[in-house]
Amino acid sequence: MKLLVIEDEKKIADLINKGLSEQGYSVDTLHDGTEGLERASTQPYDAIVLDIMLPGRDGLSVLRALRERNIATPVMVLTARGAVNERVEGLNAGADDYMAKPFSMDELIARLRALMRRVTGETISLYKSGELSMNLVTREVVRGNRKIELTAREFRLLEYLMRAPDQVLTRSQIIERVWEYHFDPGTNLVDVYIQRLRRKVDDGESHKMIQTIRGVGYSIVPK
Amino acid sequence: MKNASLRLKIALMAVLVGGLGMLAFGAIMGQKLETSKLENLDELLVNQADDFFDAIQNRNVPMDWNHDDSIRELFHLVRSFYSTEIEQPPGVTVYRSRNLGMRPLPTAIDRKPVTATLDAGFARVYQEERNGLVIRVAADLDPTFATQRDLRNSFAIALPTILVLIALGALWLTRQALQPVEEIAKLADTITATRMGDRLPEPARKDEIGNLTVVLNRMMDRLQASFEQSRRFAADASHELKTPLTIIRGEVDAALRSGNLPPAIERTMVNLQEETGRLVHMVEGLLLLSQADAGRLKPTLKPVYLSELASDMQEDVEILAEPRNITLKLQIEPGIFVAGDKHLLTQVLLNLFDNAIKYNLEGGRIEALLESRGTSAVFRIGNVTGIDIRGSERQLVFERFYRAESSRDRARGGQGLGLSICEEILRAHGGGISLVDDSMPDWTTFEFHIPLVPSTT
Repeated sequence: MKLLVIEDEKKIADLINKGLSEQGYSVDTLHDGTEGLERASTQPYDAIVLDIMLPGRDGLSVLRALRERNIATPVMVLTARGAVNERVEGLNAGADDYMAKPFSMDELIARLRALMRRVTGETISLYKSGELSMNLVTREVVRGNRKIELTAREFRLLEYLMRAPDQVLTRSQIIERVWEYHFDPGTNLVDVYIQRLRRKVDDGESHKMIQTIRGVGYSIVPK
Repeated sequence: MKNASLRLKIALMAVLVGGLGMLAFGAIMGQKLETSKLENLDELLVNQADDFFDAIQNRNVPMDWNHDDSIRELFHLVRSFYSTEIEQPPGVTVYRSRNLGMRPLPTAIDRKPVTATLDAGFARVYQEERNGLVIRVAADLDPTFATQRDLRNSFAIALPTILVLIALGALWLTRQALQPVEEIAKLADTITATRMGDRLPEPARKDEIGNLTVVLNRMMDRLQASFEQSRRFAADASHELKTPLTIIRGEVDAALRSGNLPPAIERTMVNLQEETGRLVHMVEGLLLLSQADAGRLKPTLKPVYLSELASDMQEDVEILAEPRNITLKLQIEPGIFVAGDKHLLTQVLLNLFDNAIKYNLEGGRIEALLESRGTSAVFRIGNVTGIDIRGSERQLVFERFYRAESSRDRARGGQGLGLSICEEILRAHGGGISLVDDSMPDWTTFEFHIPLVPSTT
């Protein structure tokens, strides 16, 4: 998978580069709009991350030019303003998704993945972690052969944990992705939901899959 | 008097000044009139005495006071209107007018008219002695005083009438004069933060009013400039903050993701991540406010199922309230749809719930109600705060970075932006929020309203 990042702020570009490389993508980085358009028109990419404020040629104009040249590569637009009208403008110009700075790397990766899946038609409908499986279409959760009933919020929480097995997720990350709203991470919200999830997933089992990493966060351990 | 209108004050001043002026004028005129009348009278009395002396001197035969013919002849020569008394030698009365009866005229100083009391009333008496002959003439003062009295009476009637006329005139005049000022005030009132560019129409005339308009307009130019400068500053600042925040956040996330940090560093990173999140949230709030100030907070309106949005929150709010043993009573009327931005409205509801938890007593209660009222959805949320938000503070709760004095402890968190953000979001949705006058003591209740989606049925 090959990605193009067009972002003039070098440090942010490096961060995105680093984050995506870690995930096994090969990444090209450019810092100028005109150059970016040139590259995106001449080389095939699986997705483009495009900043709106760019020297040379601004992101929206690059995007429009790409679409005029019938280049349908999925584009994720980045903006610092987050104004609603800017989002609409971006989507109208042909963006596939939109993220406002400051975004979390985690979410950028997840959304880019979803974008590329949408294009390739590939959909993941089943997550498996050890003996735990979760079907995103039927919304069925099974551990071994025991069916587990979850509320909508618990389902999202488990889905988020299962997407990154063995990885520690902090409260801030969980709140941001599962609630999509800024709650004070110091509150008991995440802990209460983890507790409930644990009761449903781990109660009566010898291997406790949902683990607490003290002072850091939570993680799902398949085995 | 402090709050009376300028018009009333000017009218009262005019009446006061006019009244005092007329009283002073009346008093001086009355005095002058009296003096001049007395002087005239005195002159007549002196002439009268002169006439007598002349008549007596010019007689070819000396006066014989015992002889009636002699006196008749004297009075034939002198036209007398007044009471007369003649002594010769001084002290021996030889003649006294009949109208005086048996009473003598009071003795007066030689050649100096005085006022004296007679039976009939006041009189002016003049006395002159020549060659052992004393002549005393007196005139009744009553007619003179009667004129004065008449004058005073008519003055007493005229004064209030004139004062009323002055008052009416002053009211009319000031209204004429102040009407342009009132118009300016009315127009100036419509120029608000969202209509900063409006100006007063400048009249062609170059009088005081025209000048005032020009000066006001110039002042508003300056205000607008500095207002826009600070507005742009807030927008630019929050915008500029976003790049470093993205970098900090990305670096922290990357460090945490690497998974090989020593535990102490890892915990520091988690703290950094939480604080960065808080900062991001605050910058987003500031940006939202600066957009609202610039009139650029224009949410994309889509039908939002507010009833569901609120009931979905119930569980989370209960969890958040649980550590402080706060109970939540939430009543939701089903089927309430409003036109709005779901994310922004979630923010409003959560801010209000968040406040109701933060500014609550241990073991307190929260009562919330969502219902439709006319063409609006109304959400009302109240809780025991133990804080009495006083009159002046009531307006301030919606101000940025404001926190009630009694709640100014950091332990509760928050930046004091929550309510101003709610206010701006609701305003952008065509609604509003207010602090409700609640009859329950120690309760603080907020109520917001937002237009319902017009029913399609």
